[in-house]
Amino acid sequence: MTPPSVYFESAAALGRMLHARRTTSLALTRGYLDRLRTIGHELNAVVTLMEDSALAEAERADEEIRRGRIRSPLHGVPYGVKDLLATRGVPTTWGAEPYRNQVFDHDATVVRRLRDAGAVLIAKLAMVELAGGMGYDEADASFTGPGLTPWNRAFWSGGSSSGPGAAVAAGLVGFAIGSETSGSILTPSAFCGVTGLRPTYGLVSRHGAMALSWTLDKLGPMCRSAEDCALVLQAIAGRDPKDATSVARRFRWQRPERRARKLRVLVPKGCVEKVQPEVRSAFEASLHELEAFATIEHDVEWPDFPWGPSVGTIVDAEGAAAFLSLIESGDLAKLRCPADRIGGYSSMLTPAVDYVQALRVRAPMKRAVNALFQRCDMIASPTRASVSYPIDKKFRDAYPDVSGGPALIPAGNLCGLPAVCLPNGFGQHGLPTSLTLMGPAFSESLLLEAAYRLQLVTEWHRQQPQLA
Amino acid sequence: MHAPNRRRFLQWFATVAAVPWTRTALPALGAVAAATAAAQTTEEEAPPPEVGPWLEIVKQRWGRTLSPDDLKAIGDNLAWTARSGKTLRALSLQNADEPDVVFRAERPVVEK
Repeated sequence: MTPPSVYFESAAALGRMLHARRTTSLALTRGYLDRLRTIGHELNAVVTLMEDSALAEAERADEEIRRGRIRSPLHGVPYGVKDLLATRGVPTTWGAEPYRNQVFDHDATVVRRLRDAGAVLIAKLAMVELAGGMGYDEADASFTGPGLTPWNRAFWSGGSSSGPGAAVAAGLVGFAIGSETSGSILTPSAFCGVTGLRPTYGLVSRHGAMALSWTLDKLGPMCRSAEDCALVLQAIAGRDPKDATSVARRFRWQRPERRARKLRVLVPKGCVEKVQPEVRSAFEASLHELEAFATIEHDVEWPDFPWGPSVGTIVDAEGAAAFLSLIESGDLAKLRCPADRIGGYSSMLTPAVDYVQALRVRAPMKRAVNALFQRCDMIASPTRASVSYPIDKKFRDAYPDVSGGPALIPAGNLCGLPAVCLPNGFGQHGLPTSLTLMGPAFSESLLLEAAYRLQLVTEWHRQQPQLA
Repeated sequence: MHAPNRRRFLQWFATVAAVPWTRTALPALGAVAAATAAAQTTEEEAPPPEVGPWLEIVKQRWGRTLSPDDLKAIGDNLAWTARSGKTLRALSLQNADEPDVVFRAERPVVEK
């Protein structure tokens, strides 16, 4: 019998237990499947359990481990993917009723790479329908129902990677894969109190992933520690001939040693003035912890660009093209969220010149943000201005007086920048707060090092929700 | 049917609420600041003139399945589209500023 606390261990620790043969992949897989069946469905976090293939993969992993063939630190660790990643012969629903019976004949590259690393895929996890591309404005925006954060089931798990966030936080998987177009890894990670990594655009192949916005979409890990994010990234990063935007870079994780110099961290002006008080105090405590190995520069002016109009116009135009047949068919009406049922029609009228202008301004945006990175290693900010939103309200009505200041999530996505977020406290209603560190392109090593160092001296990532 | 305002929501959700376009320009980006300021609007402002014709296109193409509330919500979305477009078209970009997407010609792959 596996003690419940084991299910909350980091993927790295699970891997060490497996490889020391203190447990088996089969035992973990069975246990996680049971938890997904019960807790997972209560949280609306699960679309499809992959029981048969998972048990077969787990047996194979155990056999290889017994023979001393350890493929990677993740060998034998059970995991889940957001249900926008293709898995051969198993439904891939994109969280949306019109695609509920969609089945692909191939695996996404990320799924294939994790299989090569020996990880065991046990579930397709819930998501906001079409990754939020049609403009949802409330938590109930998936045919699986509103994703619930395990910290307080009256509140949302975040979107659009709602299932991965809840499943990782509730100890239902060893780790998960999410996706981000503009905030969809960071937000559910923050609202569920897990550690999430948005990789640099192009570092992880998107072959086999649902396209919402070809110039913004990214896949990344959602885990119970920064080190786990690093180990998962190590398994999935790298060039893929099937994704022309992927780059010929690998990622290698090594636990950091003593730093020769302090990191330089900037805090944008205005990023805490109007956030919830608990979010602010947690952020200030994080900065205090960071000062052990970083110098902090406060009140830095964030470059002035139309971040919101640019990201909105790009998502509208590319999203309308990606879902053209759905929009033209009238099947938008089958979507769960009323806002999603009409969002595509206005997107269809996005002027081409406006779209191209939004693509043109991304170059000066990158130059301006890179100029900031000439004098720092990373930007620190609260991930979200508030804790999670109640599921019975429109998002805009949840915390109308709260603001996060500079548009860091759209900016980071428009510039293709990596960011890691990690839990850093608790706020209203017992819900987690979160810190984000964002760096220049391909700075994942430094970001994860900083997050790892913070997690060495804090316990926020080890907290477990009461699930009874 | 409830009629949310999609574009304003997208903007708000991305930036976390009420003051998404706080403008404190870097000196070199003053033109951008001016352009974005032009897009700042209030709820009460009249819809841009192109919204009416655009909404007529929506009615013509998909109107048989849309309720009056749906059309009102789509009109709100289109107003956001028009205002965002105005902002983006006011950017001070030069002729040589290309879209940040690289197109490449490719030689045919020779099958052996």
